[in-house]
Amino acid sequence: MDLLQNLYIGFQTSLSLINLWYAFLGAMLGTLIGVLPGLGPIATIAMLLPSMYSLQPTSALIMLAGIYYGAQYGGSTTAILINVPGEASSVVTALDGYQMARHGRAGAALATAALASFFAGTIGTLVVAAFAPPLTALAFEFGAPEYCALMFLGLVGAVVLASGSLAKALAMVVLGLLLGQINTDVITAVPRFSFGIPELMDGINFVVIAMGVFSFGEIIANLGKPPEHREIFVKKVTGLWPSKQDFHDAAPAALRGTLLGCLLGVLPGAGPMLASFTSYSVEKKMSKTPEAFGKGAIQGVAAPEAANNSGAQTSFIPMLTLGIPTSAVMALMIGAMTIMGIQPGPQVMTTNPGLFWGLITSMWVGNLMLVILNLPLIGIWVKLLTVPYRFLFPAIMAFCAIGVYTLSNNTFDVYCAAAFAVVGFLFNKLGFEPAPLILGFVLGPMMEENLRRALLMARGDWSVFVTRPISATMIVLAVGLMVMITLPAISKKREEVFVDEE
Amino acid sequence: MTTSLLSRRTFTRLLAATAVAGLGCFGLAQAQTYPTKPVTLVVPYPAGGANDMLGRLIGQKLSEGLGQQFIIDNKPGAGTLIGATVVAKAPADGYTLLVGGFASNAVSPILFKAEYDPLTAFEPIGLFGTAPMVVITFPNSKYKTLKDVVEAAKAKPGEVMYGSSGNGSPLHLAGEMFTAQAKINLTHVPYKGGSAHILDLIGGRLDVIFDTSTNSTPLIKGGKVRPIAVSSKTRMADFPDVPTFAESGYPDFTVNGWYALYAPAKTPKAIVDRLSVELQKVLKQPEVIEKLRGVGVAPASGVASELAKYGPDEFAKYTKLIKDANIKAD
Amino acid sequence: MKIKSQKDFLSGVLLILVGGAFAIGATNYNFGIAVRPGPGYFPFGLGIILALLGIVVLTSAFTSKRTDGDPIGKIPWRPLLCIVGAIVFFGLALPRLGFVISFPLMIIMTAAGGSEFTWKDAVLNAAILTVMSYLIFIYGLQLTIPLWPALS
Repeated sequence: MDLLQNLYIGFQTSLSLINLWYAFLGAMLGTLIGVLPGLGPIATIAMLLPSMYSLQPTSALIMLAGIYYGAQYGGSTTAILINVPGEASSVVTALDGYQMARHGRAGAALATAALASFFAGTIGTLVVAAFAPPLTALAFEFGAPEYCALMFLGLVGAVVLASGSLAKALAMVVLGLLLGQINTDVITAVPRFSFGIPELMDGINFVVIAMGVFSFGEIIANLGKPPEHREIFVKKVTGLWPSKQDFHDAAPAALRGTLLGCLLGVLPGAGPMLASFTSYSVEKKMSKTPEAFGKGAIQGVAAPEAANNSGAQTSFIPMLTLGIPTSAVMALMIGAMTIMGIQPGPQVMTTNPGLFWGLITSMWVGNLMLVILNLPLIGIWVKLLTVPYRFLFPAIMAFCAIGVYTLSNNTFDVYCAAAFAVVGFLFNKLGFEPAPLILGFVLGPMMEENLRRALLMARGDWSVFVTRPISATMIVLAVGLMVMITLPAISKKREEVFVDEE
Repeated sequence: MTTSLLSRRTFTRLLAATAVAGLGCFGLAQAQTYPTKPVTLVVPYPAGGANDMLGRLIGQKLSEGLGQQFIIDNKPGAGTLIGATVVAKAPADGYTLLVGGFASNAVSPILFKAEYDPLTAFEPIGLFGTAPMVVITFPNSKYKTLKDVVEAAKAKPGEVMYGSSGNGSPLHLAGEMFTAQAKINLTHVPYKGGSAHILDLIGGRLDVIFDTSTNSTPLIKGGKVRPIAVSSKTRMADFPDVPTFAESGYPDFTVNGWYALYAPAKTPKAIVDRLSVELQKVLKQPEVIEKLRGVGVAPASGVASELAKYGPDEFAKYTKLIKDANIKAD
Repeated sequence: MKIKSQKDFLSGVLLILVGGAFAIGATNYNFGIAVRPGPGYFPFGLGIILALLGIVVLTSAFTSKRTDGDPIGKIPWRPLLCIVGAIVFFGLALPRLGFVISFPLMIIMTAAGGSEFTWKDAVLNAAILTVMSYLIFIYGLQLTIPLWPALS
């Protein structure tokens, strides 16, 4: 079988001692920068690139891929432990992961995240090796109308993320969409709501909003409670390892998340992030106990983590088959390849099979490294939570402040974070849940851009959204989902939901 | 064998950082032997793009030549205006320099409200590279030459669509200059950076893209897109079969990306000269030439007087083009 | 009419204000036409929708079945001011005083927001975190952060 033959060639490369070493180094460094709030893999890779030119191309790319996965996994760790989501996809992990941590189950949450990621990474690698061409074809089917419909579906799904009042959840989505409107209009280059501040022309940075409304708001609210009522973390930590029941609950969720991630990951731009949001919504809708979500449901950690990681694997497909980077990290990898004298693109598969299959198999090796590296670390992370809160919260604030500054080496982002700390505090006081806001903020500009581009290319014909099969299907799904969400709310005649304060 | 491949210093740093962060043990800070005053090279783009890569390459070579550390400071935002403004307002002592070019010193100050005058705010040090434009289409498209595009556009005005990575990008302005010179009407479809426009081109939803050679060289070599014209004066070494714009009947088409080093205005001439001489030396190194070519950038001379003429010419050219094409951002 | 949920009342008012502000702001931009929406089209529509949702939330403040009035509760001024103040201070001070001075000061200000604040703990924490951050961010990851006071 060709696939086995190819995987064999690949493992010959990726399992060589030196490449294992670089995979390990990459995963370790990636975990480190992922754990630090606000720091992403891009700045680190850019810094490392000059010293990487002396490496063999295969080793360099394997290390870069390791950094990429490591950073993603590290981001989940921070989201679970201290409620600081560093990227859009870990916002979902924070929802239930942080609650698990508060109830003394940080170990189980972290282990679940690691194992679900590893499982998804394994499947994702196989999918990349076996189904890259048909999935590339899927990516081509997605034009502006399809993207727009997909974003619309995602936004409707965002409402499911919240567990309180429907009107408030909708308001959060719309507020997120409006915050996303602070930018330079892509179609006409008009700066909107920038008040002459050049920094606002590129919009508010996602990390600033996420830190403000999730972490800072929560810290202020916590400090506002008298210490004896505070009990942020349960003192007794129950077990570092998920229980049998946990495995039973998490495994199917991880499988569904993996599949969603494999499909959506191929789409450039929003793929992996949409995958983790969607899989969470799916789990919550399918669950017999949807009320457990948002309070520490293990499925709420397993599914999005799996989706995110398998999406991260398949997001390499356009780069491998076409040489088109779908993210900044991949653009860097392509840049590294060109400078090392390798023309990226489909021909790599034939001209340099060792590199091509080596890279694919090293994705799996990288995932393995992450598990090996991170399972032992769980004990240390959990210990971190036993640090008294009076030491912990200034540390969280301090690392976040540096992270925010380094986003673009500009103090403007720091001031924005201060403003969103107030906003986050208000949300906390008034009972708004920030997750739908984040999804609205991230998806909104993409949806608007694609909607207007679709109309531009279709010369103003709105029917383009329903005459194309993929787009029409997604719009039908979105409308159906909307009915599903609103019906119970109406039939219950707005029965008062007492969201109990934790 | 293992550690020597990654520079040892980098490795120790990584290890130190990991040790400190992961395990929470605090080693003693090893005294750094920084040169007394390192030079900051402001790159007005986020880390990782072509500009950043070029800036790092030039910075590294300059620091080897001058024995001083060149620190890359990424200050992205507002179409390069944020980073360029920082340099324009920095002390004119040669310790803060700008990796400028097409956007920061020509197009962005025309499109958006800038706090600096690109003609007077900087002291030119030297142009270090230009990137010609390549017109690309999808492999089985019916457009084989620029003439085909023009004829199709004349038959159905506005039906032929070209994509760009955004309003005011070289890709957009190249399209505008071409429509003006060919007296045709093409529909401009802007995208927000990234690679979605390339996917739409390969998928056949766009007709052509006026792309920079930096982006399109790998795609052409991979056979995913087909070049139909290049904007360089002579045919490009990589694509000897592809005619130039001049050969195709548009000798006045002169849009290309460019990259240059600037100091704040009033920087002492001795410092500017020193930097320019060093830049010229750097640009003669075979390694540098090879790396620039590798990413589709043609190395330039690095002579200050040349940039002193080139920059204002570009500014004047795009001021006129943007006004004529009625591209506005207000 | 009696306000039965203070939280919903204030939420509704704020949503109406924010939505209204965006909608009014959007009138500065070209609306375009339905076949080709301009840059003002989306923010205007979204602003209106937000304001409408605000009205829904506001109404629910009066129709709520709650009996406790769903009070907003006391505002914890001390943590709010300390935390927000510390972030703003860090933004102001970093380019001027540099990391070595502004960072520990920020940490002490943050710590002052807690009710269990003691100088000894705060200074110790600031010292440890500053050394750690220096090693991680500046020595290790070589991030470009101003270290010392700018002299000019």
